[in-house]
Amino acid sequence: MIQLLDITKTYTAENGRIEALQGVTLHINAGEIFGIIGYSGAGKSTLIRCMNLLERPTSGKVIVNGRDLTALSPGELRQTRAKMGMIFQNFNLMKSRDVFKNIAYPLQGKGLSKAQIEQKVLNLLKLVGLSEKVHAYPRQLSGGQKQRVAIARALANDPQVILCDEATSALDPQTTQSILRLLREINQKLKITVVVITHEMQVIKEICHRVAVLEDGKIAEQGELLQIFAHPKAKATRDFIATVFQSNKLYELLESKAFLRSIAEDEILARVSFIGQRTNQAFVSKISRLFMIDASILFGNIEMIREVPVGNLVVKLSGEYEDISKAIQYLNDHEIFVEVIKGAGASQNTAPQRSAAIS
Amino acid sequence: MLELLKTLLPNVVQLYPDLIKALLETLLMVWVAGTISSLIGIPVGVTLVVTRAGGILEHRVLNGVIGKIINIMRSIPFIILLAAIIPLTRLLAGTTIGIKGAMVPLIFGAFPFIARQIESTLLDIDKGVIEAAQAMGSGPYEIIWRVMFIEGLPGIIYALTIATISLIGLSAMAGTVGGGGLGDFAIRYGYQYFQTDVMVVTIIILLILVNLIQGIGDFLVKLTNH
Repeated sequence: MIQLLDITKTYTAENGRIEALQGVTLHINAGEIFGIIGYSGAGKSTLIRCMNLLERPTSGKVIVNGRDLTALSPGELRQTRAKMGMIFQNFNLMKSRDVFKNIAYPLQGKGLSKAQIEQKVLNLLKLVGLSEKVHAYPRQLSGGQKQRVAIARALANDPQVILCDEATSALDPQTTQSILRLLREINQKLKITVVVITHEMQVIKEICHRVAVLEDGKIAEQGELLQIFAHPKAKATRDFIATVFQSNKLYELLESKAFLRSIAEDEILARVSFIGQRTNQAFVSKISRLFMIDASILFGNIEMIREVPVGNLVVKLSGEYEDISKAIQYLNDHEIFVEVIKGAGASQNTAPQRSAAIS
Repeated sequence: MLELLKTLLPNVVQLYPDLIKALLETLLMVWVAGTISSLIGIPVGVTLVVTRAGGILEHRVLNGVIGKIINIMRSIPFIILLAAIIPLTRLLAGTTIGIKGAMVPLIFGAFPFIARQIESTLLDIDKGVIEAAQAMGSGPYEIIWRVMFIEGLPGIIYALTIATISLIGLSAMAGTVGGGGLGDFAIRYGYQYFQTDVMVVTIIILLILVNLIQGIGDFLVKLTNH
């Protein structure tokens, strides 16, 4: 659907050149909800604006439905843009037009009769659940209602994709949820591809099928949502996931020397993570029984990621070193990921992850 | 009643037909010069906005040239402009006196002002709204007509209201030099002939005129501002 090939964007500012994007390659499939997450300044807004060429990349190709947008004439580009809806953090409604006229704006001059336009606008308003506000002005609407109008407007020309530029960042958590539900509904019912950029992992977690993490103008990591959640590789990804699992407290704890000292020499501290049905298995009591060790959960969090449970536990294992090693082996064999944070086994098992986990 | 007026405002009563004529002349000058300078000033103001860096029809050279010309014209005091462009006035209007002769300097005095006012009001339009229109596939001319003029309408009305009021002031000056209008009337009778009542009545008329225009402008701004 949308392919970005080695996109770079460089701005020349007064105090030198800013390389907003440094070789971004992405492939967004038709029908999916694709999330791009990054901190402010990572280049997210620039990246999404490259997809409909509101920003022209310095180099690289933007291919939408097999056509390279950078090679289109202005007229062709406008036609392509009309088939790519976009919504914004600040809604960007025209305040001198009422709801009806805002949604009708992209429909005018497209050879539709007045009755056809009216029919279309009323249907769109029904879809976004705002039929009663048809003649309200933007000033009279709440943030969530404004975003619904903006979504209706973005859908007016039957787009194949909707680009969402921080669409929920100005909304409260409840309204965010309702807008995300609406976007998911649009994706499922109308088969419209959705591209979401955000700095909130909650948004990604809620609706995205695949996700890319953008850091300093580069893709740090991308993949299926569950994979990213279960086995994050880049530090930025781990930090974003930490916001969902609220594990920043855990990392604080792990960094404190007092806590680490409290772990005895023969004890092992490990992070145990798992996806899906394994959550239901009583693995903690199982390894205790099987290997005669003590396992106690110090910290834990289980999140539903698109209806699949994903767990993150910090477990203290104490007992004979041999037995603990066997237990870890057993868990790894059962696709439960163990990362030793502190203890004798650290050097032997999954050692490369250790520093990353504590950092 | 008439007797009372004759005692209070002897000269005004006597010059009543001239006063009406002067008022109509002022209105005519403001109307014609206002219309023509708006027809020039609005497109120039729009051009200044769309050609600036980051504008929808970015063209820095054109923007720089127009900006400088406007600045030069705006920095010349009107009374000097009146005298300085006499050859141009003669060329365009065929005369340098009377209402016709006053029109040319009025237009040259007012349109740069209108252009800057329009520029500043259109710059206030939320960039995001223009970006949204671009994302919907609108071209630059569609954005000017269907976004900037619509979103900027209250500001445009406000700018034109201010321009009209300042044109009344300019028309008084132009009239003094070329002849005609309330300014000429007030200076000639009220100042040079020491007919204070003429001066007072003219001022009152101007006061009412300015307030009326401001009132209409404010009303229209309110009507279009949602």
